Amino acid sequence: MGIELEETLSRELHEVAGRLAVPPMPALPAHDSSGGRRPSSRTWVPPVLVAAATIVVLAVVGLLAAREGGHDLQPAPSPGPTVSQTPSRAADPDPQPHRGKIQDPDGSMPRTGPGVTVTLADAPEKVIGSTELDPNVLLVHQQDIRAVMKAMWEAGATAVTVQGQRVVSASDITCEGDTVIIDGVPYPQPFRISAVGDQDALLAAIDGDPYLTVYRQQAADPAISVGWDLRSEPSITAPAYDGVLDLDAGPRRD
Amino acid sequence: MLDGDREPATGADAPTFEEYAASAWPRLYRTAYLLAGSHADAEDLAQQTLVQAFRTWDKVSRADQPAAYLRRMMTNLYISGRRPKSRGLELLTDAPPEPRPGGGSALEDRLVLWPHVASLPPRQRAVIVLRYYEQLSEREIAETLRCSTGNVKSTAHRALKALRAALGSDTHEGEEA
Repeated sequence: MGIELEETLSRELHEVAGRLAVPPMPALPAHDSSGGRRPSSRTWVPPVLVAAATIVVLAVVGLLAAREGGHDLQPAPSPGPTVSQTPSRAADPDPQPHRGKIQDPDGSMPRTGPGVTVTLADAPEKVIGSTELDPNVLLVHQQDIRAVMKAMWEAGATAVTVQGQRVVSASDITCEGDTVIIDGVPYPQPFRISAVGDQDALLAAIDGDPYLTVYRQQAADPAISVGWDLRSEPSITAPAYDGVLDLDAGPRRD
Repeated sequence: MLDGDREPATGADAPTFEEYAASAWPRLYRTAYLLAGSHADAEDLAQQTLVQAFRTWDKVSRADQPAAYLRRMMTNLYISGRRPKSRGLELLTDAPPEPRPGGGSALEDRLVLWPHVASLPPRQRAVIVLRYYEQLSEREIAETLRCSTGNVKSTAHRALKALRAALGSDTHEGEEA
């Protein structure tokens, strides 16, 4: 068992690592390379300064938000603390521009009503097999799912589900190889994201989202043809969220 | 040795930081993913490592094995970065407290140990990744973690024991280490 366990471990680690879609390396700080390989200190901003500047900006934004939205400030759904971005699609300008629109922030009530469903799918195998492009644009990533969820929440969705599972601010959505894990449950593609809410507002928000616009362009491109489907539905049922809500660092309702 | 075939030569024509970083990035990212367990955390970890390497590039580029240097930076960032908050933040872990309903995907069924690796404490996880993915010897792991080989042995032993126990409870084989 000892040897076998170690062999399995080695095989699985290599399998997990080998299957990863490695994102492009982040841009490195620009520097004057004429003087040799030591980066010029002028172009290097110490992380402490970056952190300090970030804190100042966040504080100002927070103050403004608190002042403007004070009358209906409620916990808003957070798409998660970290969202890795695929540079080939539009960058997300502001992850939480519409705090306070959510009426049922903790998802403890089931919801039924009209809404819309977006289905995201990887490009057909034929295209993936023959492409010369970065295969990442042919696959659905967690940030694509998050972008749809975000647009739905911005449109005032009263409930959002992914693969029929209710998702809330505390939901954990991560890519794991070719599956996406939502609150611990792995799902294969295609990914169905549904929202209960005002259909016109939902369609407008999804239509107007810059990230999703790029996604749809890529879906329409025969060389990419990553899957996109959007439909209105007369009745969508979102079950109550059944996971834990008690996060130390999560939003709370008093 | 990390990625020996793709590692740029050192010495007289030592690579610039950009050249080195570009060649080391994929491997760095893969190891970071095995340590951190999610794409977002892996990117953070690999980037932090590159930032550290960038700041001390004079030293790193003169090292016999820049790769080993970066590996040590990354392992330390991972272990020390995890310590203060590992119990506080539930987000972005691979083993949430909710029970997993049965019937996962084919991938999940096939990988019997990887899900349990994610629940190991950071140090044990680091030893497992260095040993079974990077294929380092106990002495190299000890150098990476700046501890004794005895410590590496006992940490690895504890990790394997935990994995075996987790596996046993999965399959009801109930094998005791």
